[in-house]
Formats: sequence, structure tokens, C-alpha cells
Amino acid sequence: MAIIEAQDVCKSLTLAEQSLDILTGLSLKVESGESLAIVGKSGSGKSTLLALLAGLDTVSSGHIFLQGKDLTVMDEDGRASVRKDHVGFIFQNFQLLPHLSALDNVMLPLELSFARDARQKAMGWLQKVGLAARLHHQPNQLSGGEQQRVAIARAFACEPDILFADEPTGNLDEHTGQTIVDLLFNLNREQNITLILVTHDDDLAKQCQRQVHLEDGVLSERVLTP
Amino acid sequence: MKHLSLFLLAAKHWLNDLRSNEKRLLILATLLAAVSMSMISSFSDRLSRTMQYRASELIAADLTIFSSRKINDEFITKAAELGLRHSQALGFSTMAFANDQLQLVRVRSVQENYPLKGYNQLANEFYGKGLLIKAAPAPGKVWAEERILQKLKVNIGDAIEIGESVLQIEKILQQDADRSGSLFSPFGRLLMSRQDVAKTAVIGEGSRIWYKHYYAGSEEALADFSSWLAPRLDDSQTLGGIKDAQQSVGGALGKAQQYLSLASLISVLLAAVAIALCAQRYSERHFNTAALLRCLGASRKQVRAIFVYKLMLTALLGAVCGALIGFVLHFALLALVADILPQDLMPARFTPVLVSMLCAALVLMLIALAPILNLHKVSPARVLRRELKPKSVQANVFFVLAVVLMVGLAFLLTKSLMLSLVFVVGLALLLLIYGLLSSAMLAGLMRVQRYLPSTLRLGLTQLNRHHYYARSQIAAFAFIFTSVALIWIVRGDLFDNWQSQVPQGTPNHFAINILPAQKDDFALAMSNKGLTTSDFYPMVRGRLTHINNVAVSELFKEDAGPAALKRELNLTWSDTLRLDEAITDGHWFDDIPAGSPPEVNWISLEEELARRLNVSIGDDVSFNLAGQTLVTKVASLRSVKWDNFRPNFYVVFTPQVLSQFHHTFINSFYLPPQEGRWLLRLNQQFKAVTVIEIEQILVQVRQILAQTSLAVEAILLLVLLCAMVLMFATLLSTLNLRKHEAALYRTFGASEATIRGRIRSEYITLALVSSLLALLSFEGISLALYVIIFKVSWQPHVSLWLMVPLLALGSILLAGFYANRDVLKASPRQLLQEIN
Repeated sequence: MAIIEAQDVCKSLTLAEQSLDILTGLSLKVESGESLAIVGKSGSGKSTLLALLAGLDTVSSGHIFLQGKDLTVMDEDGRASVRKDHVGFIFQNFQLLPHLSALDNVMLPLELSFARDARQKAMGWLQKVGLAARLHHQPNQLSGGEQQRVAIARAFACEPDILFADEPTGNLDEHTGQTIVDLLFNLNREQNITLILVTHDDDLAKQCQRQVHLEDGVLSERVLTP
Repeated sequence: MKHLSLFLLAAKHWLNDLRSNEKRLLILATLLAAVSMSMISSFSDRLSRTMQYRASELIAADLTIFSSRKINDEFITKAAELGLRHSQALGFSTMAFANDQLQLVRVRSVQENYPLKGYNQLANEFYGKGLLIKAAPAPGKVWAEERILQKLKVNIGDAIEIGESVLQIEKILQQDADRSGSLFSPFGRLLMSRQDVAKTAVIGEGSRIWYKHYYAGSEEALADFSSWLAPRLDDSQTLGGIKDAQQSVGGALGKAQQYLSLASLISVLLAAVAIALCAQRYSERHFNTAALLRCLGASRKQVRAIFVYKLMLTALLGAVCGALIGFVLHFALLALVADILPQDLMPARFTPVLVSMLCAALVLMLIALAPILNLHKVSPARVLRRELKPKSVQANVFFVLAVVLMVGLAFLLTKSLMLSLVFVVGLALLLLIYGLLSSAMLAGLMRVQRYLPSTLRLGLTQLNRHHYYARSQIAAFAFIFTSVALIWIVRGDLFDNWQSQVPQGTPNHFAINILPAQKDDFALAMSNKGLTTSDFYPMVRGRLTHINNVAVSELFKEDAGPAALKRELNLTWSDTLRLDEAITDGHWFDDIPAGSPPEVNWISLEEELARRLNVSIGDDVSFNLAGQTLVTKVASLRSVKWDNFRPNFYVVFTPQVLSQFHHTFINSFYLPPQEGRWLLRLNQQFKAVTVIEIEQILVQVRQILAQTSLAVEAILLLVLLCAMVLMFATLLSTLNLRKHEAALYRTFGASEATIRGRIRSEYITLALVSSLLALLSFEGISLALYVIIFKVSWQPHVSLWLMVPLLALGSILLAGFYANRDVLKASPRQLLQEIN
């Protein structure tokens, strides 16, 4: 069964009284445990598609099902509840709260779900990403790579069914980026989580089982060559 | 449980958030609002209760009942039940006899526990030092005023006869503990024991006597007693309270209290504007946090709860600490005025502190809630696209609520609904006008910028580039400088007013009963002694008998009506209006409209008495002057300055009418206190003249004014502190923008000096434009106040036109460079990272 399915999704914006079509009649199916890369040029609508699939934004028309639930008929709080139960995120600019320590940042989604052992879980995940010694450091005391590790720990800590990653290595140098990618895929395999990532880095995209290419609002499947 | 978890999560975030400048300023602004409210309301609460206490010393009790008939014993029983202390006095006028001399005296016979409050001021020799004694004369003894002793040619230790009893003069009565009654009565006062009254046998059927009950006790018992009494009092019984007595000491202190309340209100409003600015920036800074929380699955309700809990914690910290600090500071404020307060001060109460706490928290919640509630509307997609901003919530509702709250607070502090409405609505309008005017001024200055110095040109370009922010900054700064200028000038006017009220050489004696034949000699004696005297005012005694041909005894049954009807009035004549009086209705004698019959006897009536008698212009008022009836017509109503220590009169006639009646003169003069014995010689030369000393009252008033001036200075500091917080809040509101610009300039190779120069130009322009706006609006407000309300001539405040721009330049540059210190020091990378 598809863990996520987009059916004939359109998204348009009105800018300066002109309608701008970003996605036009897009359909996509992702199976559970699969890893998918969405690639395309800047401005092709990759981030918009990711936002729609994750229920962060609303479609102009069409349907999106996540774990069989139609996100397009839900209100903001309904989608928030789906995100809380099923979704994890990793962002290009890490999105850590600057005034919270690494540990508190990882604990945040667990606390929102009222998890009983939030602290233990968060500490465990920070240990897994190699930051056991940096629990009480604040984001501005950590390097870019370390901040992304915290973000990865936060994403995995609430045991999501599906993980969305928006340019996860976009703000990191090549070496650090590779380390982060290795960590991300290892954990992904270990936890058997569905991964959908947006990137324009071909090497990163190649590490996914599937790749889709987005151009002018239209999606096309790339056939992977071994 | 979920709420507790959310609260704990919010608390954790709140604690971590304490490092941010906006949060600190938000707490500081709330704290200052609470400090101001708590300090002033605790101070006022204690002061007014102390004033009540003090005033009660002037009526010898907390509450009195005065009647021309015997007062029901039921009152005494009830008072005893409520635990009130009680004392009775019986008063009458009678002849005292000694050395073949007769003199009419006003006797107050009192019980041994008189006075319940305050002291009798007694002396052991003529014009000797007064001693405060809390006791009543023993049976067989009397305490009498100097003038009685002089008239009867007796001294301390001598005997006088009152009715059938012979009593010994034990002390000279300088001031009775119960000071009610006219100061200018022609007859002296005498205090004797209640037990001696029967022996005098002067009271019989039809005697004109009066009864007075004195009660004292706890506030609660007095309140219970008053409400119990209200329906039981008949027309002949007058309830006397401390309010009546307060008028005599309350004038200056009341004004100071009003000023403190006004200053406190301004400080709260400054703090409220600072809160609004900080809350706006705080909410903008938290768009990302809210978006992330939404992204991580928090519902709108949860996001809202988290931010509201955080706001509540801020309110709690600011309000609780502020109110407690204010409570502690009120002791300091009280210490400043300690000398004029009684030793046994009323204890402090916690109610004003609690009310201030609640009010400060409400101010923060209502003002900051609108921008904070925006946060739960943030789209979670903002984590991917920063440009997404939340749709703004209906801020109007909160704005209206905040204005209502402000009016409520203003009422709490000033106790005047009208003043509160005018103040708050006027202020809201002022802020709106500032917004509009600042846009117009910027646009106007841009047009003429080529004629301006380069610094201002650069600054103007900078400000114009960020037109929206510049407008709100100019409005906020103009508001700060107008408030400070207003509070500064009002303070100056208040001090001038006080000083002019009791300047050096203010008359400390009144001379009454100066016979017309002796007037010139008396004036000569005064000038030989080198004394400055007031004018001599003619005085005729007469009783007001009819209003529009209806007897006042019919208009005001029994003893109802103003006290002026119960005694003879001192009437005077004059063909010119005194400089310190003003016509409030009708026309002065030289301005009577043509066509009036020439035989009319015109009078001018004091406005308050006219109101109480229900008399207006053109009404007929009849007087009985030494058995002769005189019908007069009211030509004008006058306002009278009762606190100017000069002879004042309810009724003024034209000279033609009154001068034909038997009259004497009254004047007032200043005699240095150490020369009191000269009065003895004066009295020997002018036997008919009675001199009344009021030096003690003057000393008391001067002391009150000096001490309250200090309290006023103290509150001015608090206003300045609030103004500084608002200034920082205003500067912080554009800090991100400035950081972003500075980072880009630095990246493009601009030196620190260049950036410093740009910031300086911008701040100098901001200071000059906002101070110009502040001065214009301040002069506008003062013009309206002087011309419309105070009806006095207006002059521009020239000194302020120098002071305000200098203050603006100094404070904005200092605070600005302090707030921008990171912008100048940090590297471009650090700045960009911070913004992101």
C-alpha cells in the first residue's frame, strides 16, 4: 500500500493580480519504506511539492493521501495532527530554536506529543548521531554539521513513518554533507522509514531508490541506471 | 495533565527566552508600569488615610453630629455597641463677667475625654509658646482665648463669672481641638467642663444652645455607624466628617496627589506603548518558532497556549516584582514627606499592591495579546518559505479593550472619569496625529533637503527609505518628549503656584474690629512698625433672611441649609473687583447692563454659596442689618480664593449701600513670629481691635508644600525611567533592519566609521524631527490648556525649544549607539547569521 499518494495535484499562486501555476496535474505514489528524491532546477516547485506532500501547505485542486488519510479535506489542525503522528522533517537551514539547547530541541516534538520518556529518548538519539557530549550546547555553539545532526535526531526521535528532507546538505560543505547523508541513509534503513527528499545534488539523489524530476510544474520519473 | 505539560514546555521556553532583548524590555516595561502604579497607589492610599487621620485632628474626632436640639441617646448606645469612643459637648453664647467688665463669649462645655482626636493648643502667658495638650478643663476651671482675657482685664489664675458660677482661668486657649466655626467671630471662645454647666444656670427654656457628639474608632465601625445613622438623622442634625476638615489641609496636598497620579498615569502609558512596540517585535521574532511548532505537529490551540502561557509568565514576573518593588519604594516616598505626617501613620495595606499587580498584568496581556495571537496563525510552510507572514488577527477588539483598560486605570489613579476619558482618548488621538504629521514632515523635509546640511540630508534619505519604521519611530519619540515636557512644565507651574500661595511675608495675623475713626491711626501704627498690611476691608455684620421674598427659615427647614444661614455674615463693600477674584456669572457693578432701575441695591455673591442657596443672577436676597431690612439683587457670582490668607467675603455690596451702616474694618498683616509681644502694646493702643494669629497654619502649609515638592521630584524620575524604556523599545524595533543593512555595507567594504556616520545622521535627523513635532504638539496642548481651561494668557515656552532638541539628541544618540553596539562591532557573517 502506498504510504503517500498525490492525485492530480495543482497549485497556483496569485501574485500582483496574476495567477501563477506552480504545479499542474501532478500525480505521485510512494510505497512504504521507499526512498524518493525530487530533483529539479531552482524555482521548479520542488519545495512547494514537498510542503504539499507533508501537509504544510494546501493544494489548489487534487488530493493527497498520507497513510490513507486525505490531507486536502482536513483543516490546519487535522493536518498538524497527521504530521505529529506520522511525519518527520529535516531542513536546509536546520530550523533549530536558537534559545533552546540541543537536547531541548530534540525533545520538542516529543513534548508536543506528551511523550513520557521524552528526555531519555532525545538523549538516546543525540548519542546515536554522535552528539552525546554536546547535549546542552545551544545551536550557535554548534557547527553547521552538528546542527544538522541535531535536526536529524529530532526528526527520528518521534519515530515517524515518513521523513521529508529539504536540501539537507544544502548549507554544508562536501565532506560534512557526505557524513550527514551517510547518517541519514543508515538511520533510514535501520528504522525502515520512508524518505522523501528534495535536492538538486545528483549524487545525493542517486542514493535514493527512486528519483522524480520536476520541471515547469510537471513531474517525470527518472529511470535509474545501475 | 496535557495543559500542565504544555505549561511546563512553555515555561522552559520562556526561561530560555529570557536572554532576548525584547523579552527583557517587555518584562521591564511591565515591571515599571507595576512599580509606578503600586508605589503611587500605596502612597496615595496611606496618604489619604493619614490625611483623614490628620483632618480628624481638626474636628477632634472622626465623625461629629451637630444639632440645635438634644441628640437622641440611641446614637450613643449604637456607637458603644460598635466599639466607638464617644464624647459630648454643649455649646452656648453667654456673657462673662469680671472686673466690672462684660463680654459675650462662645462657650463649649466638654466631657473629660475631650478631645477624642487631636489636641488643644494652650499657653501659660499672653502670646506665649503654645503647648499641645490632649485633655479637657477640670471642673471649676476654664480655658479662654486671649481676647476674652484682654476685654475682661483678667489674667491667668483670675476668676470670671459665667451665669451663677465663678470659674478660674487656668490657661489661655490658643486653638480649640475642634476648629469648626468661624475664625472671624467677634466673640472669643471659652472651654469649660460639662459638669459646671448646671451650676451656671444659664441654660433655660428657649436658650440658644447647640449639641455636638464626637465619635472615634476603627474605619469599619465608623462606616457601619455612618450607614446606620443616615436614615435616622433629622433635618436639624448635621453629620460632620473628616471631608469637611480636609479642605483646610488638603488643598496643596491634594494637588500634589493629583500630580503624582497624573505622572504615574503618564509613566504607565509610556510603559504601555513600550509594551506594544516590544510585543510587536517579539511576535515577529517568533514567527519562525511558531511555524516550526506547527510543522512538528502542534495544533493551533497548542501554539496559542504555549505563547499565551509565556505571556502570562512575563506578566506575572513583571507585575509581581514591579508591584512589590513599588510597595517597598512607597516607604521611601513616605520617608520624604515623613516630617509632615503624624507619628502614628496608618498601617500600609496590601490591597493597592494587589490591584496594581493585576492592572499591570492586564495592561501587558491586553496590549501584547493581539500580536502574540498572530503567532498561532503562522503557516507551517514558513519553515520552507520565510516570506510567508501570518494574516493579522482582529487587533481592533484588543485596541478597544486596551483603551477601556487605560481609562479604568486613569480613573483608579485620578478618581475623575472626565479627566481619565479626556486624557486617554486625547492621547490616542495624539498618537494618530503624530503618525500622520510625521509622514507629512518627512515628505516636506525631503522636498527642501537640498538646502539642509549634509548630515541631515543623509539622515533624511535613510529615514525615507524605511518610511514605515521611521514614521512610527518619530511618533514614539515625539510622544516621549511631549510627555516629559508636559510633566516638567506642569511640575514647574505647580511649584510656582505653591510658592505664590504662601510667599515670604504672607499675612500671619488678622486684625478685626478696627473702628472707622481709628483706621488711619491703626494704619500709621502698622507703618511705624514697618509692617506691610493688606487693604483695609470694611465689614458689616448682617443676617441673610429672605430669598425672593421667601424667608430662609421656610426654604431651609429647621437647621438644614448652609452654615452661612445660621450665623451673622461678614459683609463688605467695594467698587472694584479684587485681582484674585473672578466673575463667573453676571456683571460687576461698573458693568451692569443699561436699563436696570437705578434704585436697585446690587450685590455680588460667592458662587458656591449661591449654588447651595439656589440663587442666581437677578434674584432678590434680603438681609437684616442691625434690625433694618435691606433688599438686594444679585448682579454677579464670584469665585473666591479662600486659601490666600487675606480677608475674604461671601457678599460684596456697592459702597453707596453699605457704608451708611455701622461698620468696622478688617485687615491682615505679617509680623515676624519673634515680635509677638508687640501685639500687647498694639492692643493697649487699640482696645477694640482683636488680633487673630494664624502663624501656625502658615507653618503647617509651608511644611506640607516643601515635603510634597520632594515627592513630586521623585516621581519625575520614574517617568523618565519609563521614557528610557520606551526609547529602547523604539530603537530595538528597527535593529534587525539596521543589522541587515550594516552587514551588507560591511560586506561591500564600508568601514566602521562610515556605518557609524550613517547611523549618527539618521539618529540626529530622527531626534530633530521628533523634537520639533513634540514641541509643536506640546505648545498646542499648553495653549489649549491655558486659554480654554485655565483662562490665563499663554506664552511659548522658549526654554523648552532649546532643552527638548538637546535632550532628544543626547538621549537618542546615547541609547541608539548603545542598542547598536553589536551592529558596529560584529563581523558581517555574525550579523547575517543572527538575522537568519
